[in-house]
Amino acid sequence: MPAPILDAATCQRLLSAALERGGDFADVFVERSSSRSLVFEERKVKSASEHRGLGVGIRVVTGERTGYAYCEELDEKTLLATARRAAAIASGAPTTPVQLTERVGPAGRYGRQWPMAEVGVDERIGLVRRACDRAYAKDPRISWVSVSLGDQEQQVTIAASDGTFVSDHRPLLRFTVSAFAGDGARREHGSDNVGGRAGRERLDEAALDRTTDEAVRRAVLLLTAEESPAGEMPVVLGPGGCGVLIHEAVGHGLEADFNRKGVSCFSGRMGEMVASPLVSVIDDGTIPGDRGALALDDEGVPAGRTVLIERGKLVGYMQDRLSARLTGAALTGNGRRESYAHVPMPRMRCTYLAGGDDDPADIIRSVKRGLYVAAIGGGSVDITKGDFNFTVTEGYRIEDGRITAPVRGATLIGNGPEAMRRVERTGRDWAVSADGGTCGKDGQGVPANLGMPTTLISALVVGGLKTGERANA
Amino acid sequence: MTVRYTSHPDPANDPGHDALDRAADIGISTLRAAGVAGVVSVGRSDHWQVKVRGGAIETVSSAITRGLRITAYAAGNRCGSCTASDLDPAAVTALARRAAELAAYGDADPCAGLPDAGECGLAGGDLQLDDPAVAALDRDTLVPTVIAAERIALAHDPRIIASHRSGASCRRGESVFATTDGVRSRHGGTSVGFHVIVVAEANGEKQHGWYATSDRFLTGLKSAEAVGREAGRRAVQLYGWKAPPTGPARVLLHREAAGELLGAIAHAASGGRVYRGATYLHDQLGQAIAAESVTIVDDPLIPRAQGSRPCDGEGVRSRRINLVEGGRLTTFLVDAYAARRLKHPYTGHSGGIANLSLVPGVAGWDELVAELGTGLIVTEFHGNGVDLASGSFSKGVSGFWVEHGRVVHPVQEATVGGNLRQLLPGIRAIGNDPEDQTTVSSPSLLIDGFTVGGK
Repeated sequence: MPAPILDAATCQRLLSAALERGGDFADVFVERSSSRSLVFEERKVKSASEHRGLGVGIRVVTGERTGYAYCEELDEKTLLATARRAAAIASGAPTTPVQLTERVGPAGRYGRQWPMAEVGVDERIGLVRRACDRAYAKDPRISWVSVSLGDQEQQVTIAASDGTFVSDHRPLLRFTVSAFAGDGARREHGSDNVGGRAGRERLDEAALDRTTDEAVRRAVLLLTAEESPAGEMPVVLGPGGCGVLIHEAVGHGLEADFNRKGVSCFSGRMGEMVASPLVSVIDDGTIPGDRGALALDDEGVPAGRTVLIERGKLVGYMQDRLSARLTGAALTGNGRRESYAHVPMPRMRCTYLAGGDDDPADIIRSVKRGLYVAAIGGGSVDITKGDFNFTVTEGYRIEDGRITAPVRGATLIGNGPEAMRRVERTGRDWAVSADGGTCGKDGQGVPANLGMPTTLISALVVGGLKTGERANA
Repeated sequence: MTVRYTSHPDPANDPGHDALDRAADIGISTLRAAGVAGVVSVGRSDHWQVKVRGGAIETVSSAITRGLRITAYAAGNRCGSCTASDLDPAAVTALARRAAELAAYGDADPCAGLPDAGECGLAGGDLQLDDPAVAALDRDTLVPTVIAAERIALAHDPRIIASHRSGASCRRGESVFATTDGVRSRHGGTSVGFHVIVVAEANGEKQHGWYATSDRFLTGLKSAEAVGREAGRRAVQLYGWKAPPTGPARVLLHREAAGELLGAIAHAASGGRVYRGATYLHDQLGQAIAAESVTIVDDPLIPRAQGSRPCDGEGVRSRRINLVEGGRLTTFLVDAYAARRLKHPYTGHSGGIANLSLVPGVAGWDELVAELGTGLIVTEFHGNGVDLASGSFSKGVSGFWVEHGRVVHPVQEATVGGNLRQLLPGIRAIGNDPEDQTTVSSPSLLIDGFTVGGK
């Protein structure tokens, strides 16, 4: 069981101070973090760096109002002053917090047989040097390689006025290979990463080699890519990381705060069919070692597996304490924050489209002309309209049911609910991404992961440069 | 603004000496004792934020935060760095020692290290970065303004049904920068702003509209009326939208969107990308990269402007530069490393651009629309589809479809694509729109060479 950073008695005093002017709820979030990063470029250690952080965020909630203050020391006088700053939002008689009782979160969420904190700088240099050498040796057209290895240990202790007193100790790891390939005047970029909430064991030779080879393959592939076709056409998304589509097109719109305020395109649609019957969407904090895994969220709530859409029907939102309390919903463990400096919000963990029954090859064969997307770089969504966009980092034409020429410069755009109604086939090759990304909302970034099977969407608008060929399924 | 620059600081005689200076002193003396060169930058920020919805306060947050960064250069300019928020003397000493230890793991690199001392210092003149009225601003003062702006936005059109989130924020920061070469500077700055986001609904379709204002000075903010009305107008402007036809089209980038193109040029000209070969501009210095009418300036010395600074992030003295002059790329934007690596003059760009602007032309908005003829007005870009290595530019857009110089219908769920190699020379007219408050400011641009993706 992780030891608390701040003892229960001190937390109890802070909660009492926070509720001095009344309020429905208060919590104290104590965070100690350390991170290490190594950047290797041009076969050299470019920089080795480390970060140490410590802070305490104190929140007071009264009705729909939240007061928040934080400080960066554990001195009790400063902490009490911080609690009183947060309390300024309320104006009533004092509320008494429940006596804190230490509880334990679910075990086994983080893979950490071999903690990264025990891995010295020399050993890290060995890992990145090997990947860098491998990338240069892989193809003579590789002109620049950068490899980085970063890890973080985040310890949190959360005390709340309902008696919650929990601690969590979360590892996070990422190994990234970024390569440029050159061929005459053309230059293209490819990258890949591996990581998760795991230790050194995640960085076995096979995983590092796969990541390195993938970055090189993508950069070199793009040297021969043609400009992407433009216009509306059928799109087949490959398994794993293309789940960015689900994250943006569906995920954000199902965060409870947007729905409580009625500003999401999914607001007020609980129980309705909002997608094709082939679509089941889940937000899962329970995949061991995954980048989106959590034992406890940042409000001390055990993180579970939350079904959002079941066979096309909207069945759940992702909740934080505030939205759950105001709407009478059950907690889901989605209350997350970037750090002690931030107010928690409903956030995703690992969000995916569930697997289907089709043979992926059949799905591709069913498309006469269209786009096959193997990897997406990133995307964003306007949660009110539901309009999303993505950048395709590895894409191909589909011609007469076959994947043919690689394309570059493709952007996918569409409307989330509309795209989900157009899901026509889902494959039996469901997978989550080997690492995932960082999800940004209201200025806060949190690690998250994605997944999906091979999926056919009957029509999406593709942005590219080539026009004049109409595409039909 | 409090800025000081001394080549040989004498802390004992300095009345403004406080925790920031103390941390810088300890960091520098620890680095020297460890036998390494290095930089200490230490800052403090006092800030608050209020969120408002439906005329009532939703969230209030406040904090005073500190940040410390220590970079050490061991023999051969091997680099190590550490960051933390603890300014306690023992913690600063430990952090500086650790940075020196980490530097020992680095590889020698002749281009790394402190900037040349002659390049360091503070640009003269009063940049007016600091507004005492902002530093003293009580959050209750700005809340009624935000609530009024929200009310004006909600009342703008009956289709506007809800406030999404409105708010205000305020920050005062101060930082000290010191090197083992004896360079030292201290400067502060303020920023304040508020924004409104409202949601409209009609025929089962939701749209949102947002608008914001921010400035270093309280008196620089736009009125509640201006912000509220613009957010309201934007919330309903796209109703009745249709997808445009797919194909090549002339595009008019409204100045709100044109800044994205300008930002892409600055990123493509960054020294770090040039020596990595990660930009299509890597071999274009002195070459024509844009239409002859295009001149782009980065000026860190504009009083009160948001991006103004007396020196860059490495202590290199700020200066005004022309990035593009008459369509020719006249410089790359470099930090000390890139300057040495590319044998390029210093430009003071550690930390990126300051106040980047494209020099306005003469065409009024109506003239631009008339010259557009048939094509697309882009008012907003979505997503990040720019690949600077190849110059490929492909983004989602919203805006208006124009035929024969008249707006026919709004547009969304569309894309525009092209390559910067052709798009920048394709700029055929530049608007005379006034500059705005942002750090990247472009007038409206009429451009040939885009491909529109729609139906």
